[in-house]
Parts: sequence; C-alpha cells; structure tokens
Amino acid sequence: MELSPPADPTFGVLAEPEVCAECHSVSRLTNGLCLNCLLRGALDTEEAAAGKEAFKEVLAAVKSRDGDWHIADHEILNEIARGGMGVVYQAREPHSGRIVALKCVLAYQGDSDHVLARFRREAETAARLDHPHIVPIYQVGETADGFPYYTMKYAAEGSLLQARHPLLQHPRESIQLMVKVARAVQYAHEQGVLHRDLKPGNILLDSRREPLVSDFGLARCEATSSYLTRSMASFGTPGYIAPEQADGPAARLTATADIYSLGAILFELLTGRPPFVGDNAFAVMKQSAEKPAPKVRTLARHVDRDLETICARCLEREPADRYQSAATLAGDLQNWLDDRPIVARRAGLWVQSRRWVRHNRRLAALLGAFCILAVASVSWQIHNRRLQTTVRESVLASRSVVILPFLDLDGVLPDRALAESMASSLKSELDAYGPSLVKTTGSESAPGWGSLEDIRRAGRETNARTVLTGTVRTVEGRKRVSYRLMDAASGDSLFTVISERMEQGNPAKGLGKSLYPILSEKDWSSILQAKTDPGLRNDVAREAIVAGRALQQRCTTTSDCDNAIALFRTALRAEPNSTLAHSYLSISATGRTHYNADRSFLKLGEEEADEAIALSPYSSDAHRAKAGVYYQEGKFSDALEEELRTIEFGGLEEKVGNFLGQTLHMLGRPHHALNWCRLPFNRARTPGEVDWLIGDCWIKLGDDERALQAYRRAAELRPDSPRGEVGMSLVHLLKGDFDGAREVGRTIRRNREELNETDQIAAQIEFFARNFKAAELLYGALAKADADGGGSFWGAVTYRSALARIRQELGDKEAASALMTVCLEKETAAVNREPSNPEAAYRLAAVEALLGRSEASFYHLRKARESGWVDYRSFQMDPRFDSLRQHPEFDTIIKELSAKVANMRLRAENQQPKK
Amino acid sequence: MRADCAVESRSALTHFVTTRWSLIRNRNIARSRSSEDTGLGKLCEIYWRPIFTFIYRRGYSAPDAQDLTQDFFLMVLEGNLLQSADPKRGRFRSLLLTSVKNFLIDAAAKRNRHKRGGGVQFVSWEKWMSDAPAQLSLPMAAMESAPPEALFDAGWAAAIAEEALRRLRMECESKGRRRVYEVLQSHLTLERSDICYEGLSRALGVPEPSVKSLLHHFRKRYRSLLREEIAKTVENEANVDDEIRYLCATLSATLN
Repeated sequence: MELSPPADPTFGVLAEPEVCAECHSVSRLTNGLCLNCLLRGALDTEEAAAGKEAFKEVLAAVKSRDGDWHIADHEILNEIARGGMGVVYQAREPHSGRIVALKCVLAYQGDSDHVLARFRREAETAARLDHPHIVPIYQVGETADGFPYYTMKYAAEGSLLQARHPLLQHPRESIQLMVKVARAVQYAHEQGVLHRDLKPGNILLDSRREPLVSDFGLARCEATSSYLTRSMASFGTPGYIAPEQADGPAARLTATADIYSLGAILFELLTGRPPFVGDNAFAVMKQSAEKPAPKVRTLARHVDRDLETICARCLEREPADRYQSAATLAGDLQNWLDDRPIVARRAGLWVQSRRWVRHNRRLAALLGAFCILAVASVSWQIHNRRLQTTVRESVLASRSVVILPFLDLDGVLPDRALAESMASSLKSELDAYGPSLVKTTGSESAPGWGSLEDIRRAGRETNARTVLTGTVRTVEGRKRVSYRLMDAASGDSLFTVISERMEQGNPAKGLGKSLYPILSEKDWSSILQAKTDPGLRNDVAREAIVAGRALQQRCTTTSDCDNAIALFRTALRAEPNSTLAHSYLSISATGRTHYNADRSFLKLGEEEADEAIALSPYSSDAHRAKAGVYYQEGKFSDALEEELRTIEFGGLEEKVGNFLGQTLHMLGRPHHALNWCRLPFNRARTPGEVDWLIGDCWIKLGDDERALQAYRRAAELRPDSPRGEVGMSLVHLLKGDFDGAREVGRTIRRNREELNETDQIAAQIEFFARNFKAAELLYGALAKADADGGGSFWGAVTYRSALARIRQELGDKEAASALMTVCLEKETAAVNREPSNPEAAYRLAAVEALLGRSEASFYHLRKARESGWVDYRSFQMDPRFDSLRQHPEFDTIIKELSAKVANMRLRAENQQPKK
Repeated sequence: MRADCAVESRSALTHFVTTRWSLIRNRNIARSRSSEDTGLGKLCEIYWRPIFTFIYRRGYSAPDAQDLTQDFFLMVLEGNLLQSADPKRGRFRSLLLTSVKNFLIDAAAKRNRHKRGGGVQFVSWEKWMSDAPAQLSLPMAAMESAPPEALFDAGWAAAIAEEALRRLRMECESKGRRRVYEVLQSHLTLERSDICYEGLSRALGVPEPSVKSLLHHFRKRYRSLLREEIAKTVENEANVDDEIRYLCATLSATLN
C-alpha cells in the first residue's frame, strides 16, 4: 500500500467526504484528523502553556517504549505505509518470530462502518486467493479494540515502485516478472475477482525478488453485487486504470480493465514512466480516454518492437481490442522470452482494420463485397447496440431520484409509507416527460432529513443522482407536505416546494413538471449559484458574515452579540440584499435580549427577520430568525409554526430540534418536546445541550429520576455550562430538599460573568426555603445587576416580585408596595403584549397574589393553565402565592395540574424507546 | 431563547516566540542567500503549500506555479516585497496573501521569473512534494467551488496544524515514544466522552490512570505547540484566539 500520487498538486481529493461528527467540517489532514477540530481545540484555553521539557519528562515516565509495542500479540517494528484506509506495520509474529506485514484500520476510521466493511472484504478476498504470486494472508482477526486486522507475507524488497528504475536496464527481467504477475491476475480472474487497482506500488517483491500481487482493497467479486466499491474513493489510480474505469464506479468492468493496468505497468518498466502523465488526475484520465497511448519506442528506442506491440495491445482504448485474458498476455510475454512469434502482431492487423472501419464508415459501406467488411459491420452493429444501451442507461442514471422517508412533523417519526406511494406517483408524473428512474430505499434505511451523511449514503447505496425527501404534517385537517430535491453527492438543495394540500392517492401530483427539467440538467452549478446568498458572493460581505457567524455561535455575552451585530451590519452595507446577513443580524439582536431585557433589540430582530423573509420567503434562515423573535416575545405558538417552517424549507439543521423542544416545553407540552429531543440527530449534533432540555421536560413531568439522569449527562458532556448542575439543584429544590439543592449549587463552577443562572437558582433555593434574609441578599445582587433579568426564570420568579414578597415578610411595607406597583405595571403590560404566553399570565398572577387580589390572581392562573402552564410543583412552594393558600381553588389548581402532568407523563413514558 | 454558554478567556503564552514578523524585518537575513541557515528557510518550508496552492488555483500550470512560488519566496528573502509591510496592520497570513496577489499582478515579475531565480533552488521541490503529496484533503466539490483565497486559508491552517503535529511527533520520537504519538494522535480531536481509555491502555501497555494523565499532557502540549505556531504569525499573543477563530470560520463557511 502507498499513498497514491497526488491527483491534484495542491490538496488530496476526498471523493467521499467524511463529515466530522463533532463539527461537521469536511477538511481532513493526511493523518485523517479533522482540521477544524485540531484548531478549535486550542481555542480559549485557560491553561498555562505546556513546556517542552515538562512534556518530555512526562514521556520519559511512561513505560511504553517503542520496543514493547504490540497489536494482536504481534510486536510492531516499523510503519511501512499509511494510506486512506489503513496502516501497514512491519511486525513480528508471536511464537514463530516470523516477520510479517500487519495491516489494520486507522483508529480514527474505526467508527466508519463503510471503512470497516471495505477492510474486512479486502481481507476476505485476499485470504481466499491462494497463488504463489499473490501475497499470502497469514491471519485475519480483530484487535483487542475490535478493529479488524490481517497479517501477510512481509515483502522485504519493497515494491515495483522502488524497483522500477533499476529494472529499466533489464527488460528481460521485467518481462519474466510480468509473466508471473499476469498469471497471478489470471488466477484471481478465474476466482471471480477483479483487482481494479493494479499499479507498481501494489506489486510487492519478496526477499527472493519474486513478485506478489497485493492490495485487493478495490477488488470486486463478480459473484456479489456489492455496492461497497461504488464510491469514487475506490476509483483506482490515474495513470494505471483503464479509460472505461474513469466512467465511474458504475462502469461495467471486465478482466480487460486489469489487462490495461498490466500494460501500463509494463510500459513504465520499459520506458521509465507510465503511458500518460499530466498535472493532475483529470488531465491524465482525459488523455487516456482521448488519445492512443504513445508507442514505447518513441520513449525508449532500444526496446524490442514485439514488446512495443504487446504493450500497445494492452493499452487499446476499446476493451474489446485488448488481450481478452491475462493468460493470453502471459502467454505472449512468454513467447517473447522464448523467441517465439507473438500473438499480438497477428491480431494487430484485425484491430487496424476495425479502426479503419470505424473512421471510414461511409467508404467501408461501399466496399461491402469484402469479407472483412462483413465481419466488421456485424461487429460494429453489436458495438452500436451496446452503445445505445449504455447511452440509455446513462440517461436513466442522470435522471435518477431516490425517495427517502418523509418526516412526519406531528409524530416526529419517519413516514416510510408516504415515500413508497410518492415513488409510484412521481414515476408516472415523470414518465409524461421522458425516461427517468425513481427508487426508494429499503425499509431499514435512515431517513434523509437526519443529516447530510444520510443523504449521501442513500445516493451512494442506490446509485441515484438526486435525493427527494421532505416533511408532512396536518394543518387544519389537511396534509401539508414539503418536498426537497437534493444533489445526492453534495447534499445541496436543488428545489424546494410546499404543497398545502396533498392528494392522498397521488402525493407527487404536479411535481414531475418541476423536477424533470432539473433532473435533465447535466450541470447544476447555475441552479446552485442562483441559490447562493448574494452576501456570500461579495468578498467584503462574506468575510463579515463568516466572522459574525463564528462569534454568534459561541455568543455568550452582550458584547459578543454587539460585535456580531456590527459585523452583520458591515455585511449589509456591502450587500443590502443578503438574506443571510439580515437573518443572522436578527438572530444576534434577538439573542442579545436573553442577556439583557432591552426591547429595542427585539424590535431590531423583528425588523431584520421580516426583511429577510421579504427577500427570501423560503429561506429557512429567515424563518429561524423569525421563530427566535416570536419566542423572545413569548408568542410560542407562532414560534412553533416558524420553526416547523424552517424544517420544511431546509430540513433538520443544527439545534432546530432543541428550539422546537424548548418551544413545546414553554407551551406546556413537555411530552411532545421529548419527541424532538429524542431525534438521534440532536445527540450527534449538540451532545449535552439537548440533555438539559430533556431534564427540564422530565422535571415538568414530575419524573425526578429521569430528570437527574439527563442533567447528569448534560453536566458530563458540557462541563463548560452550569446548566446540568443547575438542573440537578432544581430537582432537589422541587422535592423540598433544600440542603441537597444548596449542596449541588455550591459545586457549580462560577465561570461566567454576565450569566446569572447559578445565582438565580441559589436565590430561589433560599426563597422557597423561606430563608428570607439570605434570599434578600441574593435577589438584591441580581436585581442590582439587571433589575428585569433578561433570560428565563425558573418557576417564573422575577427578582422584583421575589424582593417584594421578602420585604413584605420582613415588615418593610413601603418598599414592598413600591416594588409591587412596578411589577404590576410591567406584568400587566407583558400580558397585554403576550396574551398567549403562559409564563406572563403566571407572573401577573403572582403579583396579584402579592397584592392580595385573589380573584384576579386566580383568573390569570386559569389563563396561564389554559395556555400551557403546568409547573404545579413550584406553584405549590412559591411564597408569592401564600395569600391564596387557604382558598379551595388553590388546591383545585394543584390537583388538576398534577392530573394533567400525570397523564402527559404516562404518554411520554409510552413514547420512550423500548430497550 | 436560551443561548449557549462558554467562557471567553485568554491564554497567556508566557514564553518568548520568534514571530515571523521579526524574520521579515530583519534585513540581515535578506543578505543571506542560503535558505537553510535562516529562519526564512524554515518559513518557506512551512508555508510554501498555501502559496503554491493559491497560485495554482489562480489557473497556472503546476510547473509554472512551482516556479512562481519559488520566485515569490526569493523576493521575500531579498526583502523586496515585504519591506513596506506594517505589522500593526494585519496578520502575517493576510500579508503574505496580499503580497502574493500583488506579485502575480506584477507582469514584470512574471516575465523575468526565469532570470530572477538565477539557478538558486530555494524550495527543494522534489523533497517536499515526496514527503507528503498533500497535507490537506478536501472534497472534490469544495475544491472546485471555493475561491483561491479560501483555499489559501485552508492550506494555511493545515500548514500550521501540521507543523504543530510534526513538532509533537519529534518530541515523542526523541524520547523513544513514537508509539505514544501514533496511538494518541487520533485522540487529539475526540471529545473526552468518546475516548476509550481501556483500549488506549491496551494499545500502549500502560495502566489506565497513566493513560489518562498522558493523554492530558499530550493534548495540552499539542495545544501549546499550535498556539506557539499561530503566535508566530500574528502581531501579538492576544490575537492568537482571534486568528484561530478566523481560520475555523473560514473552514466551516467556505468548505462545507
């Protein structure tokens, strides 16, 4: 194994990008590590720099000398090679002490099923080939970590890659060697195995300089119809592969493709270079497809003409014109060694006449009497028919769609049945315009809205050029469906449409007309270009957007938000029509109100979101911005609608599950929120983050055990965020275990300046514990920093209202009354502004209870309950409602809410995945 | 909307590092023609790839791009190109990019390029090319659609990360612990929760608690080396985080 020669002189080409599970970046260093993660990891580190000497001391203390290195009991001696998939070590076999080559999967690829499957197949294929000139496999197994490995004969003399130059002086030796190689390849063909990547680096030389064909990594067994090798990654090595292999993995290859590669190796052994060379892979492939291979003697005059003929025969562009088997090639090479006439020369005449016929078809037709022509024309017709079939197949392949399960937004489940009926409906729609291919994936397949990876995988597995998926939900008794067509290779969205009213029997009605022209398009770059946000096409705007987005993503302080806002404004000055910049500006402005309740920013957020939607009504970013505005305005139902639209227009994107979960949680539907949290997508994208939300849901559902589990996970996965610990503290608090709550609270790392969740929970513990003096101090400090508090409050306890209750209790009536007046004014305004916000109604009810207005308070409590308030446990403990406690309705509310919660909890438990 | 929380903090790189800026401004270096004994030789060795990438992506053939890269570094060496550079005005990265853009625009530079080199092989091409054909692998689509500037930045980021990794490997090798590097390198980017210490302990033949501590130091040393490398390219240490953020943002915005 070796690194392939650079297909591109600047970068390695990842035919099949592996998206990083942590950051979704696709750039990888040659060692396979994600570049983005490598950089990000060194960011914001508080630690002191680690010096060289200290590190060397640590190393010296580790009892892991290179001499004690073992993999599966083999002593590792040296690294021989490292490639895209595996690493090969020189190793010593246990007991026997024999030196072997041990190949294993690179650790960082060990989690890729695709790589593991390919590796195992390679080992299996190689292991069942038993030939003196195919590298023998000694052992196939798994390492202690469960990674596959195999050992094979160690090639002491390296490969033809190193030997090719010395061999130039000894053509006879080269030919003897190639006879053995060709016979080995013939044997593999007889076993039904095509090598598909023969090149000098794959012809190893043992200690006696006997050749050993190796690396069946790309080999395909003709008996199995595995798609594993269809990716571009298994393309072969430019310069050595047959031109038909360049047609892609779908090309039907025969033994003659390997013959071509053998010819290319022979050519190099005779002339010192492969037949085609160029700047990059494409140039090489293009030449080999368009031009005949140069004649050997034009590069090396001393080479015998017969060898030139043999080489040329292998390198014919038409597979039918080459040697038809490796055995014939071996035979001809042997003929040359034995000074016997070679077969290739006789066949050369035949090939030449066919060539002539192809280039002079009209003239040839006039010479119909000639026998040779009769044969040639029959052959031509056969060829032509084959060509027609190929053309038809390639048209079908280009107009191919695979339909993935749609996402049922109501149940948050994949709707496979819809995908099936969509397939037949779409097929008949498209048939009206021309040939096309519509498929669905197997019932086990992953839904396409999950991730880019799923889309690409579906494309690979079905060999389809495009992927169609979407969402379905019920709106006012009608089925509303969104359809998204994507490029299967890149995941780029090519077409999105919403149908407000799906016809049951014909779900793809009218779709064929829109999709057919897109499917027929050979090159989608103009479609994609038109879809690119203008802000990304302008250098100044793009830079500002990128920088702003980076800030936004970690946005934790008001100054972060302000800086991001400034950057997006810069972008908009450069490109006022950028939907992206408007959307992001809106998101930053809205996000800022989380930290500081300055409503002017909410207004800015709203204006910008509206502007973005006006510019691009189908932009998921614009609707995401609008959803955020609605959320901060307490209009949770509207926020929910906008969030569902972001999924309809753009599929599931980062954090959308979290947003939906939070919104449903606020709407008093924690059991529905859990559905969104449970999407496997969330876990992969935002590990830890979704867990505190899960905790919040379970706490509302009264399942403290599950809540604790989730918060613990959040604390573990996001040690940088206090939310997990704050949640754990809250669980204790709601159980009335104040000491437990305080205990957890004390362990929370105080590493945030502007965020006050930790202080807030500490204050609430003392308040609910009726430790009013302590609570006064804590709430006093919070109110001093930000009287209104920007974010959310657990149990909807605002600082002012808590302080009012405390002052009341401590006998400072005047101060209490002043605070209550402010609170009443604020909360009344909030309820007027946000009539459907359950929390606003509840907050007003609390102030009214403080003022002794029990009737009004119960009225607003009922309002809160109607719009979704379910947190009866904090209601029960909250000192602000003390004046209502004697009232029979107080208990009624608790009873009703607890029954509602129990019911939701039951439903949530039933939805839990069965273990 | 609850926002994410993260700490904004600055790391203090307390020890002295030679900045690339100081190399540029040191005219004495410019008089030395030999690349090996100067910091500039080192500079070319680390950063030739992004420069070559940019030139190649601008549409020059590989051999022309090689020549132009060679000439560009020669001009840097001669001190002709960067002498008016003001370190207060930007990063070393953007300075090199601007310079190479100007260099390409300068028709005279292009016309005279074969004369200019005077037979001095500044970039030992064959050696470096064969060391590693490419440091960075990108999807075909990204490579074809991203502008040369973005690919320059990506190449730059790769060059810096590779240099940090190379130094880390050398440090391990010097103590006879290459295996430690080989086994642990793939864990530099993993989240803590994804690490199987048991497996590492088996692979290294070291008890689990020691592996934890070793990996901790390994990662820490890597971070220090990376920050040192970045610190060499920015005007002062306080900008290291900003530069990392910029590079990450470019990677995720243009190449995804």
